[in-house]
Amino acid sequence: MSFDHGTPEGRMNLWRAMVRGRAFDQAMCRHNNHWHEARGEEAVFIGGFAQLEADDIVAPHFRGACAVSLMRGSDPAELAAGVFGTDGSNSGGNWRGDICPTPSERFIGMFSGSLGTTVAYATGAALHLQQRHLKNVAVCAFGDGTANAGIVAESMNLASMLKLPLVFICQNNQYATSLPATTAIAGGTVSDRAKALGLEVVDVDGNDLEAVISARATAVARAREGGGPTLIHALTYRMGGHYMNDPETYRTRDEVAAWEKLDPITRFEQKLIVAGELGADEAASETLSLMAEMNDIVAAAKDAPPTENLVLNPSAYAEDWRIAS
Amino acid sequence: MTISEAIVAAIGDAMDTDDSVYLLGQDIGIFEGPMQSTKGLWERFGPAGRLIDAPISEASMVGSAVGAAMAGSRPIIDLMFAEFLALTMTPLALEGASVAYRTRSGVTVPLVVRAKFGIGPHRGHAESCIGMLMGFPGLKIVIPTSPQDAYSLMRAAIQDDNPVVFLEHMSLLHGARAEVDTQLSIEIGTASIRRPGNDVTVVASGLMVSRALRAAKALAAEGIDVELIDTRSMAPLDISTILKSVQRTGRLVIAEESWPVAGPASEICAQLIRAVDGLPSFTVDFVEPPHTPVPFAAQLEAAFVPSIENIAAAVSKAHGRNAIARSTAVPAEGGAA
Repeated sequence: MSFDHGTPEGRMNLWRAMVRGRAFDQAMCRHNNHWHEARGEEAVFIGGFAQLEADDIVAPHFRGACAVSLMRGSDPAELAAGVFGTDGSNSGGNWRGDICPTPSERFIGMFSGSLGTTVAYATGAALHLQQRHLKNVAVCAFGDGTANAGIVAESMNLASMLKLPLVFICQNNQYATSLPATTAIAGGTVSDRAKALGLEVVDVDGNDLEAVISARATAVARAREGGGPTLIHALTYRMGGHYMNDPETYRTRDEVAAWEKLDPITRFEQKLIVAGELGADEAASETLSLMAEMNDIVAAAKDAPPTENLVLNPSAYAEDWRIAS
Repeated sequence: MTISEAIVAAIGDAMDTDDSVYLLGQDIGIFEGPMQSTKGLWERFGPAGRLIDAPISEASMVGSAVGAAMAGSRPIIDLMFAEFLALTMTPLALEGASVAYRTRSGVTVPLVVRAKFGIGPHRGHAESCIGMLMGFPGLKIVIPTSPQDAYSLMRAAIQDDNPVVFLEHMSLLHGARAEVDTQLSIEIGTASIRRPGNDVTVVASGLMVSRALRAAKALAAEGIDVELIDTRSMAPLDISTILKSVQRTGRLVIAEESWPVAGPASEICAQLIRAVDGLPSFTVDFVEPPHTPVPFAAQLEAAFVPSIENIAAAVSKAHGRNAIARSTAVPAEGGAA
């Protein structure tokens, strides 16, 4: 599927990927109290991960990871089953799907609730690509909160030193649960830090899909040519709470309302409507239909009856799973 | 070959036969590794970029290796010293070792982390952290004590689809030379009987194996016949070999250099008790360091680690006890057997 934003078809696919991602996300909000909402950040994770090759390795931020997975061809019913940890998931219930889809060799996931390690994993994936002389790249997104983890700075330094084919995307939604990035990122910005570590750095409006795409395209091309890693610092906003039960005592309604006006889906949709590539009614009806479809899929996954195929393996070793499955 | 040479040879041979293997660590390039841990490899693999000098950033060294392994490489990390393992526990143990389980082997982490440990010529960095490692499911822990085991187990570790921590004892690395058969395979998780005997079973690893062997020779003169088992890997633990031995001798002494709490000795006991359904037919004694950090002053450090004399004394004491197997032990009502 083409996500080339230079073509009308590509632009429609990008719009649909954002709407579909949000539809899945919002269905989860309705059915799962532990969900970490991604509403408002779609331009970063759709723009950041669209148009990559199938063999490029991705490590999206947990906020939006399911949307990236859907865009790369995952079945929403299987993703939903993963979130609820039922037999329909491809991890058989062993994987914490509420924070990330099940990983594969080309999709790095989160293996615990710890943040920052995926940045190191993406760095290693890029080292693998470099070692094997492949022309592929790794793309890795992390939040402003995670930017403070030591392993992120260590990984950026290693990536810069080895000129790895890697694109870091800081999905700066301005809050690490409740702590504002303006407080937590001492001594400047994430961009300043990355510059100090020798990375190519670009700041973009993270609610502008095309700005993110353009920055990502340049960074990926540079990485493929052996030019080394880039950090894309994308400023966006987390429209929902950290998770569904977040009392949100740390910010004002006015602040949220101000960012609502900058909603990335609405902004891109308006562009397409003005360009005559998408009808306003068509946009509204397709959005409603995708919302309903995802709601049905998530509701069905939640209501799935207890299954019999889950396997409690007493061993965590790789070879013992091969015997069990 | 010495143990150190055998490990380097195993890595070199693996890199020759499999170009998905690379080695990353601090000062492993032209410096040839601390204590010559990569001697000769720079010339062979440096120009191709497969030997990578890393900056001081242990978490990302191991974290990047976990990522490379998931993508299809077989990285080896030279972490220098085992005490640095504590800096890497999230990517290595909490997450890296869980990947196969969480994905039902859909994604695996074939990774080796080398680390030197134990008291020895390199003063300092003695901590082994073995108990900490054993707590995490999915991790393998290998501790070779002979050049042959070092070679074969390193080859096995590189081939393994799980993360393996390969612990290299600093007192043994540059010790006795022995012939190494590069074709010999040794499975991780199999213990070795270093000395067959009938009276007391001694279970040991690392430096404790060579000390126990010397203790056993001294004890033989006193008529005590020791059977010495080298665990070779701490996870998985070959409990059946140990069990078979103690069921025959009736007396077990565990000689251990690492911390006594929630460590190898505790785990060996727990697995034995489980295996016999709570009714051991053997006594258990321990020779261990105190539960303190490893002290630095040479004399204190030496006193911290069990000596040949400590082991011999513990075995003599155990031998003096009536082995339960040779009595008709019945568990006291309401009490421990």
